[in-house]
Amino acid sequence: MSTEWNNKLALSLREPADGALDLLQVASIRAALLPDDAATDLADADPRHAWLSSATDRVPQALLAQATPAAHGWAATCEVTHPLSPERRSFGELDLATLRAKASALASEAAARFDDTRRRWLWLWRFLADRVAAEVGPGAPVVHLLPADPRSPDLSVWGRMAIDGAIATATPSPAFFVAHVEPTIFDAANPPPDASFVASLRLQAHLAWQAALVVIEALGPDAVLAPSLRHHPLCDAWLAQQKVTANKGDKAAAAPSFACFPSSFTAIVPLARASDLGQACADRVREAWKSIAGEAMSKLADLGADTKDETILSLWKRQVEDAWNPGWVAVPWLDDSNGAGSLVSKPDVAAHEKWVKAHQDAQGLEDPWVGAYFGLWYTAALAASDGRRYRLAPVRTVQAGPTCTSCGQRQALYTGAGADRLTSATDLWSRVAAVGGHVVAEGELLCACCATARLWAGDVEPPAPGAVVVFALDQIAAMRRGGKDAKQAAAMGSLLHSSAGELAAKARGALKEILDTPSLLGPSRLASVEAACTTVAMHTIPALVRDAGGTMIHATSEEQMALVPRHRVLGLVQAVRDRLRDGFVEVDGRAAVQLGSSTTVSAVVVLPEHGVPLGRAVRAARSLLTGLARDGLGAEALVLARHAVDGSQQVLGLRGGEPQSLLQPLLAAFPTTATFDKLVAALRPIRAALVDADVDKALPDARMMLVGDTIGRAGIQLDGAADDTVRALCAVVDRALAQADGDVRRAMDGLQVAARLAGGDR
Amino acid sequence: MKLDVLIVPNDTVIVGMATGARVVDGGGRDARLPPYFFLDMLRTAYVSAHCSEGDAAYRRGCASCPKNGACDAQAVAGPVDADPAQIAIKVTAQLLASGVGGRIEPLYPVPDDLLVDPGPKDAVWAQPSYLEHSTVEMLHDAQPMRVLVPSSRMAAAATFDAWLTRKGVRVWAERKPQRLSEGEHYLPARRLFDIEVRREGDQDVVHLRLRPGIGFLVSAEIPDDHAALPLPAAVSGLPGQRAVRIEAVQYPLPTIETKPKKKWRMCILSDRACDASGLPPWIDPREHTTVAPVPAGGKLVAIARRRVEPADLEAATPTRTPGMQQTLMPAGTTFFIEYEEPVRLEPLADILAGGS
Repeated sequence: MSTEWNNKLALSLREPADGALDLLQVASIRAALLPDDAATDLADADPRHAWLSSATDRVPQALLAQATPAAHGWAATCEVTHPLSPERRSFGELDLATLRAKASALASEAAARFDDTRRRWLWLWRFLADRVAAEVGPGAPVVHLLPADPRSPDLSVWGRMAIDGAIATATPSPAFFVAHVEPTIFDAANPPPDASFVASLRLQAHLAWQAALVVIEALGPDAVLAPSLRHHPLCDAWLAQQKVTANKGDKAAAAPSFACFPSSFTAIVPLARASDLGQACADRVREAWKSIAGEAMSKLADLGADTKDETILSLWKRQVEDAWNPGWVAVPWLDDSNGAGSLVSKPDVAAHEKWVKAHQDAQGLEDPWVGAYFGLWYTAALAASDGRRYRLAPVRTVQAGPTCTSCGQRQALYTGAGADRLTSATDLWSRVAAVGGHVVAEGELLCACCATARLWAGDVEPPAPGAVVVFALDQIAAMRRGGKDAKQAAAMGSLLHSSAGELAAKARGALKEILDTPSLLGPSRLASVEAACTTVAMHTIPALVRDAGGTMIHATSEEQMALVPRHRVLGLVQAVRDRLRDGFVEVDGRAAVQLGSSTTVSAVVVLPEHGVPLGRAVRAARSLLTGLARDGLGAEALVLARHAVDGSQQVLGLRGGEPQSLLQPLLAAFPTTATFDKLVAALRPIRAALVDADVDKALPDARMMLVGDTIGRAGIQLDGAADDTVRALCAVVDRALAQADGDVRRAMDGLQVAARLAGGDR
Repeated sequence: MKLDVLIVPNDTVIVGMATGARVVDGGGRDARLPPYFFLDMLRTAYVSAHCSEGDAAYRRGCASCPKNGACDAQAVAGPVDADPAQIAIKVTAQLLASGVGGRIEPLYPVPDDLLVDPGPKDAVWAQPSYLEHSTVEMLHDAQPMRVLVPSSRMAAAATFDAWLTRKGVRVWAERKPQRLSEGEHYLPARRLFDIEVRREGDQDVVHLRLRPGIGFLVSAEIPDDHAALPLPAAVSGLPGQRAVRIEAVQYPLPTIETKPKKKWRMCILSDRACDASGLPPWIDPREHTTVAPVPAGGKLVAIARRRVEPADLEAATPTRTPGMQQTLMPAGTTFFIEYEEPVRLEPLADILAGGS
């Protein structure tokens, strides 16, 4: 292990080819953390050292060689370019001498504090930037964005260290490893939609994290490429367990109360160790689950269940053993594209090859280096994982007997082999509900898995209060997959320091293919995407939800989900959109990168009636997100839905700025649910005219006059902007009608949805 | 004896109980019907024809019957609580049929290796994508099976919520990339039946209503040494007091090229109970090689199996033994088989076979 960690330190603290570009002066840090006699097995001339610089998401060296500034020039303005959006920001001035002296001194302090290379590396990876920023004085915010190369200041030196560290451990035959943890009987995206919903989400996140811990413990947290674990609260808690904190004696912040780890993760591992790691991940998940189930069994006994009964024991054992389906794939990172066409679409492979050729020519290389194929094989690994997850699903098992009222799939637990099973199950769970009503409600019958989730989480969930809001970052999937779908993202030209603008302009003709065309994700851009997602999911959105008086339920890069008071949900959606467009934000006193100005966010807001289980409201929201929001409206969609106990829905879908132009005038004119309901009642008699498009076409103002008159006759006062209000009202009616395929009975749906946002529950 | 029957319900048929979880949560519903749905209809028909003690006595159990052990109904349809794997009636193909009353067009479950581009949802065609195994030497936890990915690398390629006509089956068998046209190659589930959830007492019951001109088409085998199922017959006693009309029928089979090939895909046409290996009886679970009735010696290299939409089975299958757990191969499961030398596959009643 020692050599591995020495390699990590040595490679991640390697000096740039030109010392004038070295902002941090890594040599002194390396000297402090890695003794001269420390064993490494890195070949001096190993082309692995050049993987990052040959990656297709980095500006070609040939172009950079003509660019300024060097370190001192950069420190005068501290300009940083955004890795994902075409924007840049200057952070003022930084005293490089102070920075370097502090970094070197802190490295010496760490060397004295940690007697093993592993913990020295972990501290370097996570906390050196924090400590330097805390001590450097003016210019501190930019320390976390300190560029690895001041000529192309989009990739931080910390990000570069992490990539090099991960590659060092995975050499000489690296592979992309994708692991997933999913329940056997459910689509991972749809856990039981009743009172076990949040518990199930949290349980799944916990088990997936246990699988990730196997890779983290073996190879380091930098090996996990997605999600980004730097500044991830679960990783910080793990580091604290390793006694690796910023300062000696620091306590780790508590992990979030919401589910915050996705059901699958991607890592870079040595191919030779992939099978062992995969098996260990699966074993860890099963062990963790069995331990949780064992504790749940004891709690169930405390609640009055006869857990020694043979029938219940047999059911419990079988259901617990079958509950989860951990799996993995490992796809080697090859140095050409041969075979990739069987996992990535052939046009994408051909486009990438063309891109690599242009990049190779620009670099002045005879052969493209292996870094050029990072994105291709990373994308191939994701495709292989999809295949493994969805095309080799376990055989369906069929069970009979009283069914679990939570998942509706497994058999509910009961005791006594000869008794009437339904009666026995009812007796058992009534007894448990009487003693422990906080985990089981009256009338529920639970299987071993749902009972375990409830007992692990501790409390039965109340019906969904307020509004359920689910956010989705529109371009994330496109950027992960790369190619032309990721066009909104920053092109390479915008990554250059502004002083290289003239140079880039001159080169644009010759290097157009490289500078203006987004490629498949390379290591640098992947790190940026994942770091930005961690910032958004772990910090930005939870903070805004907290400000809105809401509660986070689930946050990963795929989706962010919260419960929010109804009258504040529109404000929250707008605040999230506004905040995420800030490419650079301050989080816990440090500068961090988000997705930036080109990002769009789609959101679905479900307003459940009293009594609708939270899980069902969330499933409805997810369904609307993939249906109306993505397929129907496209990017920057906002879908609002009122969800009834019987499952019926009233839906209003809006795009872009329509919440402001259509909804806000209505909410301003009709500030309470009661006035909205009065409005809908007043409009009902003229519904036929209201939905008749011909009226609108023939006399553009006729419908508006009709609506205005009707509102006036109903005794509803409209203030100054009456025309705007009526115009917005007609547009909302038209929109609801179009989204209901012209069903005139649904014409008022949009207004009725808006009524539920009007503060009736304030 | 082989039996091909057309089953036409008089009203809706009950296909399951909806839990509060799944009543209407926007998740859609798989076009497939619950396991043992067809088997239970045939069992009910057989018991109705041959159990002299009546349906109520049968449901109380055969053990208390004076004819226990000497009754065709019991021997063929099994006792009320029989394990479906042990029941003598074997459903070999569970299809739908259109054109009832005239010429019968069989409609086949979509093989699980056929996916479609989810893009144009309101179009009357579908762009197919077929699962194939990657040539990349990857490692994964399901080895020695190979990982399957969509041939056009459509990451979002989705399962196909439809039933194939004979022409559609031929396109699948030949792995043609041509568009599938609605009506000519397939019928979407919405044109075949409606699913409706009704509140009945304290339960939500899932009803299926076939569209006019649509019926269930079932091929089955009944042991030769027992009484035949008298046809046509009107059968009542289905869950919810529903009734169906059953009549013998002949239907045309798809024309599939069967010339010798090394690589075959074999799709099962009915839900089959199996052991924990999840393999059909014609694949040796230890060697993963084929045995009769398909040509022996073929190597199983991959399995395509869609994730199945959860479905509550209680109402549809009231006769299963409470407490037991069964492993099931759903209709549509497709096995990828490779032979060392080209072999010819003769048409089989329970398998659709297509080339690589």
